[in-house]
Amino acid sequence: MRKFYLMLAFLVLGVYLGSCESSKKEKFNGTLLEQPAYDFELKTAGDRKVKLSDFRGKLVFIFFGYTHCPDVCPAALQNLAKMMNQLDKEEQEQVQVIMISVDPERDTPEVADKYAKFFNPNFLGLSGSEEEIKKVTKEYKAFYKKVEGQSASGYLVDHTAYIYLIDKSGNLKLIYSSSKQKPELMAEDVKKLLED
Amino acid sequence: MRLVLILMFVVAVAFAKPKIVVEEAWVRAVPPVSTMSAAFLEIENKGDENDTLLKVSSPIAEITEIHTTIMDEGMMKMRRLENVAIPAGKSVDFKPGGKHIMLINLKKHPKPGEKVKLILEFEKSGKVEVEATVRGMGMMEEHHKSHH
Repeated sequence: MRKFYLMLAFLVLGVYLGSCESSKKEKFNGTLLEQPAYDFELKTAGDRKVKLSDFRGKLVFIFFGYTHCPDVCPAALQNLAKMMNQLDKEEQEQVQVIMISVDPERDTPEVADKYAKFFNPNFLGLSGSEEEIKKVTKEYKAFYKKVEGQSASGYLVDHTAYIYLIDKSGNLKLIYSSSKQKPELMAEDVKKLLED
Repeated sequence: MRLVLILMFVVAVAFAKPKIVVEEAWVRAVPPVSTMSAAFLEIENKGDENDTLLKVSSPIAEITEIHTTIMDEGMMKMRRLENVAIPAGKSVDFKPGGKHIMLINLKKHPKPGEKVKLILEFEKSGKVEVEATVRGMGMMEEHHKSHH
């Protein structure tokens, strides 16, 4: 029985210390995750290979989308472009925005990159084989599904529309749900992370 | 007296009609590699009878469809709508993340600032033509604007 009380005391202490710890932590607009980010290797224009680890030392925003998506994807990329606009030149150089296509059938690395660059010339659009894209999305717990017969445009793609923020050391730091994908909220987090 | 009332009722029903007003129409500028875009607007029915939006067309797109974006357990889903009810006295918003008009297989790429014609077809009000403004995106154009 004494053992039980001892354990309970430890538990209470643990929770107490835990709460102290979290109150000391910085507050972010995105949801804090802090876990190693999967180091993918995909392709951009000119079939150039791009790895996430190529950007160590920078903050990397990742968005999974597709170029035939007329509503949610351009809105997200537009918000990321506006976010960049709210940073000064020095800060901008430390941030890379990447769009990964979840529609490799129609989006070649070329198309994906041209699409991304329309929003900001420094954005990067990536694509890859069906298997590669499947692997990346699985690692990031992003989902996508082809939906046939809905539109004369061919098929539509259901997909999760989170924006991921990878920190300078390659950790998946923050995740933004659609309601948090506001330029000023993301820019605020970037400034905080660059200060560290 | 009863006859007058009946007559008044008949006249009222006969004259009840929807009055469609379309406002804030805009089209999203999209990258040149994109074959589609979307139009957004606000449809208000200022009349006293319900109406229904049946279809939309535009000279810049081969195909035009009414779609809606649904958020379902974190998944963004686009689904086609056959028609959209515009109830009397109500306003229906077509906005990003919700209902939108899909412009499929663009014949011409809408450039920021340009006007795009949209033809809306209602069940009772018939055709309503709207000029939608193309809204740009990204930092480049906005940078431009702030300098002018």
